[in-house]
Amino acid sequence: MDKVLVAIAFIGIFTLSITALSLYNLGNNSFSQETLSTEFQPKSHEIPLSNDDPIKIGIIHSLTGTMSISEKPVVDATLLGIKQINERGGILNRKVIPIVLDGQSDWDVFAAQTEYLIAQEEVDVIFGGWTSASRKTMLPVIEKYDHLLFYPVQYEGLEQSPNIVYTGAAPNQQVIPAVIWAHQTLGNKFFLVGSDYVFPRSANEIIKHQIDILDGEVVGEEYKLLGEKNFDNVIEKISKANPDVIINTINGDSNVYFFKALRYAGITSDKIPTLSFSIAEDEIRHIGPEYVKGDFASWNYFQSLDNESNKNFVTNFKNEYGQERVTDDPMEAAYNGIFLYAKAVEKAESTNLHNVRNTIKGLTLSAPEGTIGVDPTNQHLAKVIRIGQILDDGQFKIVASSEDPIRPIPYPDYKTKSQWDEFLNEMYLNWDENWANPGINKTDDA
Amino acid sequence: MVQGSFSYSKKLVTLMLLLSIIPISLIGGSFYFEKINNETNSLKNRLNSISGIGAQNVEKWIDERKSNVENIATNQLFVLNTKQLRTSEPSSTKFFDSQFVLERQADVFINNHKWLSQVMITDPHNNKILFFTGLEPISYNLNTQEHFINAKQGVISVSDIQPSENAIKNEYGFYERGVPTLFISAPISGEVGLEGILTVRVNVFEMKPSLTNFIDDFHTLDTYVINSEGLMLSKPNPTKQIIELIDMRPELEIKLIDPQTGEKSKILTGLMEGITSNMHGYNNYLGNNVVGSITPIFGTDWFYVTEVDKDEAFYEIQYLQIILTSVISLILISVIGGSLVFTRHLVKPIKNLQEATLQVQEGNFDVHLPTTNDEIGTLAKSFNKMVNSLKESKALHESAVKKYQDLYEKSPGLNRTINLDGIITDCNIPYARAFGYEKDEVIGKSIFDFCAKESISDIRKSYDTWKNNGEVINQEIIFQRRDGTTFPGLLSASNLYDENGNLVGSNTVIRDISDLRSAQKVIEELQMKRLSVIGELTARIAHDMRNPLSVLKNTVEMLILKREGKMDEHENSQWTRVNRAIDRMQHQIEDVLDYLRNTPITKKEHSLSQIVSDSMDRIHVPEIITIHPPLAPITINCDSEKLEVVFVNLFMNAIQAIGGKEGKITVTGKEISENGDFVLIEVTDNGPGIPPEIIPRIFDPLFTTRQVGTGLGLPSCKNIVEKHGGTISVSSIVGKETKFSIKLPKNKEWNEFLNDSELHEKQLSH
Repeated sequence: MDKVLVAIAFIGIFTLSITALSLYNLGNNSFSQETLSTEFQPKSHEIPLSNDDPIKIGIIHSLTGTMSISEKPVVDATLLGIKQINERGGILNRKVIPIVLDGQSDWDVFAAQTEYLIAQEEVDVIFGGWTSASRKTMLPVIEKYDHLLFYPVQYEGLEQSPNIVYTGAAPNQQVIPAVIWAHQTLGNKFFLVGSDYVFPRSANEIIKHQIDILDGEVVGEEYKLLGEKNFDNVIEKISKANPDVIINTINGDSNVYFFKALRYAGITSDKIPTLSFSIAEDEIRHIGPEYVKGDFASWNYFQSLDNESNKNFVTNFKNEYGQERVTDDPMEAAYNGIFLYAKAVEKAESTNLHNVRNTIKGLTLSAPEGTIGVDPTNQHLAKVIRIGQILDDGQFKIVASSEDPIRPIPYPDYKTKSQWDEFLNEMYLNWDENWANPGINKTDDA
Repeated sequence: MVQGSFSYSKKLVTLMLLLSIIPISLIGGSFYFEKINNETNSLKNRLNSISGIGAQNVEKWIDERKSNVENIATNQLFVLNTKQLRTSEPSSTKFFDSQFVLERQADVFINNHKWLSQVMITDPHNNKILFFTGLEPISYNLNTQEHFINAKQGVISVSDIQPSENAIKNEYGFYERGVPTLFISAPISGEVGLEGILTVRVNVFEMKPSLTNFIDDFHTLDTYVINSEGLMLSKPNPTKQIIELIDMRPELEIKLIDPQTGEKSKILTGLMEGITSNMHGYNNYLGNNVVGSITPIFGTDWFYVTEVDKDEAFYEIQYLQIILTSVISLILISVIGGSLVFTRHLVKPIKNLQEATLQVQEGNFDVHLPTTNDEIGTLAKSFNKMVNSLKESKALHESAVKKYQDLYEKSPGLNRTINLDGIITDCNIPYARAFGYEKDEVIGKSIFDFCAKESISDIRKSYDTWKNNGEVINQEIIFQRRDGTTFPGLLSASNLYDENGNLVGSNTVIRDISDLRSAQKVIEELQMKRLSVIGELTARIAHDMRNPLSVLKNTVEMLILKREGKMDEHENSQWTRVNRAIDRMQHQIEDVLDYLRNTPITKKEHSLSQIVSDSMDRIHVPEIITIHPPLAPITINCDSEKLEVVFVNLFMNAIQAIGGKEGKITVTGKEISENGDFVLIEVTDNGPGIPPEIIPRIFDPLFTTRQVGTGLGLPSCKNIVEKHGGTISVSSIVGKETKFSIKLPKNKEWNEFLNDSELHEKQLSH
């Protein structure tokens, strides 16, 4: 009797547990389909591209030397653009192949590499250059081969080659409005400091004109060779002059020493704010935000821009190169250049430079900085000018903006084009037919 | 025990309750099937309603998109700048400015409308592309497409869904070719007429957000829009499976319509037949087993498909299934269990009774059944009583049997039991032992197997006697042991009956009397010894007495002769008496001497008649008795003198038996052939005969029925005949006659005869 009862109880418990298990499973089933969480990143889809007949893009930037701090990130942004073009099927269904060469922060090397790319590699287009000095040494080679260069950095203007697409700002899109803003916002007394080459000298020439128009006062103007590390005497002069704002056109890693010396001398951004034209997010990364916070910079693009296109750009860049990396104006300009070139080729349905140069005129594009368009008259881009204040994290808070894009004016109308050309030529001749001061510590000697 | 409180009526009620499980199951089953039906119908309605609402939503969505596009087309910036684009020189500043404005404005639209992925403006007059966002134009050959042509005629129009020519962003933001796209073309109308055609690329996957309102209804609800070609137009639920399918976009179509076989997904096939739902389950584009509903979208050749994993759709059914099966199985288990318990309750007392009966059958009377208050309990009580009385009677029986067994087994007698055929069915151990067998060996043997050859007729006689009379008492039989040795025994048998009174056999008791016999023999020998001493003494006395007696007789006779005539009657009779006494004495002495005389026999051929007549001479035969000598001339090889003694004795016996009456003694002789030649001599008298009880002892020495007589006559006769190798026997019919038969071998010596006969047997056996 007991056995039977135990057996029945056992069968009962067994059935019940199976039932419970079935119910549990039924409840836990969650109906198989795992709905993906938002973090899920589906893998990208590669559109197969043939390696035959690729579109070759030559890239020349200083990967070594004093300019490498600024130029290497530009290479990265250029390559990101090329990668994305390839991801969407290349240009005209042709794969885009970048050929990256090192300009070594040496302008003659830039020229030589340009010739090599055009003559030997037979590239379809060249992207590169940061300093105006490098651009100006490359220009004769480009023009010689009637080629096409995309130049990604804001510059002094005073140039308008049909063989160059200037994707950075013209003076009226950066320097001039920034000075106007500084005069309105920061004060009357300007101290100009820059590297001793064509851009700072030309920019300051324009700035001085503008300050003059604004009834401002230039209380000092100092130049140091590219790569200079000693700014003690400049700091001394600044302290003495006590300007309302320092206009900084120093390029390359000299900025690190300049700002450290400035802060070492007790000149903080509270006391004398600096408005820089060649310091973007990536340079701040190297200088250290603690040395430059509170200072100002003027650019068309900041990483902090809040729009869908920029968000994608920043995200893609960080995903590609690391989350610690930042994007900045020259990088974005170079990146935009790739897409402009792509659209021009698509529109021309050919990489023929003549056709591409034609189609690129008037080309518009939605870019991270907003809508851009190639001015058909001068191959400069219509852009929005923005002024940002450096925050603790090295990012910019946009404190002023032109809101609407500004049509580019390469030759400020203080002088005629020929006057500007003469100004440049004089400088060129002064520097022994160089676009930068070739002397070693010449100013110190002086 | 438990069943004590579990009366039969209660048990029956329980049984009825248990039986009711069948209707319960039936009701449960019908409930279940009804539920399935209801559930299927409600599911169908739900899916149909989702599909219906979804289709409406899609319709609405398309209408909204059309109106959005219309808004863009009528945007003043668009109208003005389109006009300017159309009228200005490309690469002119005017053209650039307009294009720039359009780019900015389109950018705003694209950023504001996720469904809008590209904008293009075409010159309606020469079909030249005036403007496009992105890197490539939407299409190079719009002018052949219906929506474009419609737009040229001023009607906003939606294109068919088509895979993109260019690489465009798919639903996950990756560039891909062949992404399903939809175009809407709208006329850009200026004040003076058509300025341009606005064509926008619509991201069809963006339809999805407006379709996901139902996602809460089912976990696995998947809703999507397909066109009549089976191309998926809306973004399906982003499952991992879908992600894998993104890598093979064409397969997404194949799942709905196989491009090679043209085979359609079941939901599509059903639609062609006007069936807008499938509740049986089919494999959807992911290969999942789903149920689904499909609804055409008005104004398009699109269909809205709603699918739910079949498992989930019939979740409640499954739930119910499990609940029902478990409930029914539980009920069944309890029924089985209950029945088991119940049956055990019910059957146990009966089983107890059965077991008890079995035990009683096997002789165990110590069983006691538990008594309950029910019917079985009453039965058990009676049973217990019965067992008790059985127990008592058994005790009686056992003691009787034991007595019998002790008697049978332990008695010194050899006991055996036979059946009617004389086959031994039982015996006691002394029996088996006495015959040199084991008990088992004995059983099954015939009684004749235990009998010596010479006693076979005896045993048969005793067997017949038993069969006839029902018993045998002290029949002496020579028994034969296994080893061939024999022993004498006394057999007594009594009937054995079965329970119905039928005779089944007999119980036989055999008493081994060999001891007795040997003791008798010893006694006999002792007697013989004494007798021989006595005999010798007697012979000597007789012999010694004969001479004086002869002297006495002669003297008496001489005295008589001397005094003949001188004696008176009295004296005469006295003398005669003396004389007779002397005669008698002489005769007696003769008898004794005859008997004792152990002289060897010398055989010669003699005539029987001669011997008889010589014998008659030797005796005094009264006048009234006649002796008829044998008529046949028969010769006998014998010692005539001895044989005369035989006849003298027989005659004298006969004369004495006849007494003073008239009598007749007949001697016959004849030759017979019986294992050789014999002479049968019969001496018959017509005297009173011999009582049968005396016959066996008649040849015993000293046995006499007469006052006068030695009792040695007949033994002497026997002696003499046997010495001749013959036999003598007597038969008598009381009141009529007595016949002595003497059988003598005719010519040959007895020994020779024996030898011959043995030889003869041997030859026969060979």
